[in-house]
Amino acid sequence: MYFDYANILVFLLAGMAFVFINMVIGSLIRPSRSTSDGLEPYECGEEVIGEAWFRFDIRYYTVALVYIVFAVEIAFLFPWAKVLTRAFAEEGIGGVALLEGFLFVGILLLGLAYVWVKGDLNWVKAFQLEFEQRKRLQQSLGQLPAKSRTTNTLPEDATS
Amino acid sequence: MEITWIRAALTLLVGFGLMMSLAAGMSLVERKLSAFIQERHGPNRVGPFGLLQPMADLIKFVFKEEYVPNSVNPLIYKLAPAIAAVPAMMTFAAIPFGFLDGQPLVIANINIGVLYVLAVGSLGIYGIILGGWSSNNKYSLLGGLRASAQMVSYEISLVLSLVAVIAVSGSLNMSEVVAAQDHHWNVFLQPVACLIFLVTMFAETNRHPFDFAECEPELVGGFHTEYAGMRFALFFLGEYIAMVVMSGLMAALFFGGCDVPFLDIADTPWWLGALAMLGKTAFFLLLFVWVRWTLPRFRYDQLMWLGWRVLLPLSLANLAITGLVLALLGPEGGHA
Repeated sequence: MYFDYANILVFLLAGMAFVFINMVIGSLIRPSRSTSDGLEPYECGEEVIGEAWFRFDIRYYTVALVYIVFAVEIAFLFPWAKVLTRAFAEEGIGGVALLEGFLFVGILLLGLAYVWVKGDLNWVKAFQLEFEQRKRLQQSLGQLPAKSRTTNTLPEDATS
Repeated sequence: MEITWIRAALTLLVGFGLMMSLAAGMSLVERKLSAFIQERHGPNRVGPFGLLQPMADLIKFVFKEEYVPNSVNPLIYKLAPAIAAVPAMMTFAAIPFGFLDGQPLVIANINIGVLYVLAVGSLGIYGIILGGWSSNNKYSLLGGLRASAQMVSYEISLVLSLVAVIAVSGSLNMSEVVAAQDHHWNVFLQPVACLIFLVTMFAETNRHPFDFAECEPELVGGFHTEYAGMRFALFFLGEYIAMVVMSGLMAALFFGGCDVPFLDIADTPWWLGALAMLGKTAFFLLLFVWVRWTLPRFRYDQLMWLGWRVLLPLSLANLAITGLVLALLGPEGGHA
């Protein structure tokens, strides 16, 4: 068993050596005559305005949190899935195991449903809300048929 | 004991060579097949039919000028390509290529093989995020951010589809999963999981139609805009090896690995099994290229829509149904 992990270690070392040797050989034989213009960041030939290290709206912060919850859940599901067949075949506790799994996933599904309804799974939450509000307004004014299907897409003007 | 050492050393050597030649070959096959699909010739100047093109590329990459822009964070900038490439290489160690004398023909026959591949494979994303951020370029930053959200979103569905496979096979050891598929491949037992895995493997390797991390028309080169020469090559090596590993996972976990149709795994000669596994892997590698020139790219919100609202509920439902079916079948469930 540990022998196999040693194999992985050797494989890792071989991979690192491959990367390292390639970089070293390259640095020995490759030319180095960069001009100052060549060392500017490449932004399609435009003059660079400001740095790229600024505060940036990642937008998917909530989803990253949801991901962590699900990732942890899956870590618990792996051993559950592994013993499930055996729980049915040998131990006779398959029903309990299955029910427990369902309960566990079900609670997390509630969380997913909550995030979904709250609109955090929308890529552009603010625009999407505004879009739906405007649509409701138009419906109440009779400009749109009341039963028009809500699409997952944004209107053209919202993205621009 | 003596034989085990020699065998392990040989497997390591052959495995490493195989991985490198598959990745290098893929770089040629991708361009050749792209050319074929678009009715072009593709690379045909170096060697017969351009077969030596990967060699020429390597030489070119090594001789390319060293290029570290002024504004980058030098340490992370230089480290990122290695972080992208090395974990991808590590995951290859757990891909099983059949059985020799009843022993699995694999570099590392570990009993948590599937978990190992997923865990180490997802480390590769750090290379892309760090490369994108450290470049201090708006396009790179956008590419890195997109890649992070995308891979996070699709990883859940990918893993959940594999959990269902594990529930059916009752093992996390890849060779045991392959052995359990003798005569009934998982693709027939878990067609939905196979479909989910097929979609998510494109997203996880940042390949078309989900290649938002590099998305040429919008982001120049995405996360690798500021990279050139050997460092650029390492990013691509990582991507190609990740493709090889994903195709290998697909072949081993869903399409029987070394199992040749109408033959018992125990009766199959080892070379035939390894060839079958290689053939199946090659098919999915070709599928990557085929899809690239067939499907248009998604829009980013569509990608998120698909990942969170279609694939995630679908994979959870698949897992639930798998559990219920196992319960109904009782002791004869799964492959038993």
